[in-house]
Amino acid sequence: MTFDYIVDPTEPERAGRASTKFKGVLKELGVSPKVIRALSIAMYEGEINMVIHANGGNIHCEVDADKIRVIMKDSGPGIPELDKAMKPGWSTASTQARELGFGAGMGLPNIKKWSDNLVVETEVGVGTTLTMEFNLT
Amino acid sequence: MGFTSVSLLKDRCVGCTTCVQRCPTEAIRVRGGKAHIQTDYCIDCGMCMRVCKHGAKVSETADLDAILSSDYKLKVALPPPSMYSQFEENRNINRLLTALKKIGFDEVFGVARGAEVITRETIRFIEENPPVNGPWISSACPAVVRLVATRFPSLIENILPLISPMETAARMARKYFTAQGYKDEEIGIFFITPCPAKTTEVLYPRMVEKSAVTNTVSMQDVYFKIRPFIHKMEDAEIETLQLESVEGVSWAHIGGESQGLGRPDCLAVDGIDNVIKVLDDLENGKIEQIDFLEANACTGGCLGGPLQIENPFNAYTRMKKVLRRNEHPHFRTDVLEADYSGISVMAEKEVEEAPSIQLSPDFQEALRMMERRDDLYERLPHLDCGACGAPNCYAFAQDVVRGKLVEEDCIIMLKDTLRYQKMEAQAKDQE
Repeated sequence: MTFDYIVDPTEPERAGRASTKFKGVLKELGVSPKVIRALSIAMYEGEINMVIHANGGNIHCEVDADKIRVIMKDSGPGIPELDKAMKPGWSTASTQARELGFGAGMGLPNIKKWSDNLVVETEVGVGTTLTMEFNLT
Repeated sequence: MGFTSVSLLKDRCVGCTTCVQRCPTEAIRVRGGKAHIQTDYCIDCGMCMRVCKHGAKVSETADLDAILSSDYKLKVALPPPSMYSQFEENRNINRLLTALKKIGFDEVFGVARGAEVITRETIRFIEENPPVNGPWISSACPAVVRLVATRFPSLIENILPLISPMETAARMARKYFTAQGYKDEEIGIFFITPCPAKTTEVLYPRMVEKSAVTNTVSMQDVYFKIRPFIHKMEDAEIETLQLESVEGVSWAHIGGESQGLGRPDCLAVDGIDNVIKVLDDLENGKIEQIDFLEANACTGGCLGGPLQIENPFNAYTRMKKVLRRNEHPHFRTDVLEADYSGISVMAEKEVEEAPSIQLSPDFQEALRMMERRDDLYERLPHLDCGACGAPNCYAFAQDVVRGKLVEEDCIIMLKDTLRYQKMEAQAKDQE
């Protein structure tokens, strides 16, 4: 079964809605609390990133018997130095975003930490797609 | 299996959907013209009692007069500190406690004294067990504990594994009075409850095997019974019964519990909707660097309990006066300094996950039900009118796939069906 959400950048105060909605779905399906917690943290982080860095985007979630896949796709600026972005503390966030307390450089490392598998596809000027997977077994 | 101590006065219920729509866990449905609580979902927060315009929702507590004339050789009242904020001109805790004895209790033991013990134990526990994955969540509000179990099972591991101040005070009282020569079964301990959740905690405990509290009596019942005594009592009649200091009494209002811990990284939240929001953020990893969460289902904390008389804001103003007055209190030192060693305040069992939110225990079946639910939901009017007895169209769709309702229970869907049948019949006539 699949679930799709749109992350609207014009309403940053609503960021996190998709994560909370999908979390509700997983609870209804009886997914284990451990997986739900890990997925919520990773997906929320990704959703916030989409709003701060990438002008929103789409989230596509697939639930299979053994695995949950969350694909977060944006048409933002892309990540120029992916190796660095995967290390804690490095950030491309604008001064404005940093003034709001975002862009501490923990986004991608945090997502990697909480997901069982993370693939980042990015191209400068085109956008970024994060594919995170969570094992159910 | 769920349990709730909120019950319905059938004669008063008119079958409107006020409580259905306001219940924070969507636990209520109107069926056959009356409101029914689905106990698996109910967290005993008492919202339905507050919003019912017909007074049809009540909290089941023991009958006060029956308790006072019962066979227990020693009847002990356990007043919560929030009780001290309910009376207008009075600021002397000993006067209120003496009034409890005037109406027929043999002894009193302030729950706030138990709270002080829990404060000390919480400090020790957090020092020995620094939080790893999110903060420790206070276990003092049973409605919040139940909320975590039903809606936020991933946070169960964060619930502080200590018993409540009420349970602690009851155990201390039992120990003290058995040492005075009473047999355990001769002692009846009665908590004066500000909310239904505390009654459920006593009758259906989730963190201990068996509660040391015998039963609960309602704050409202006690209020009207002791009020005349409080007013007419001469100063000379006042006994020295107080055990608690400012620290314990502060637990009555939101923020008081964390204040006592003396830690900078505490978060205090009150009001059930706010609590849900904070728990949701916590689950998303959005709240960081907090090591203790004090969460109370009622606005203002226990001062806002549905069985209190005063509104929580006025009660808080009074509470501050009580706290000021108590800078030089008279304590009952024999009880205070007795030996309470051997009383354990550790939780005896882990809070169980209540899987009520699951559509089916079978994952594949749950997926199929979800598809059917979402498909039906798309076809519903999205008016959230409540005429079907469910709080909104989404819950209606849920009830249909769970087999509790059929599509035609939606009057809009039924109207469309009838219109279609009529058109078909007309078409046939024209043939």
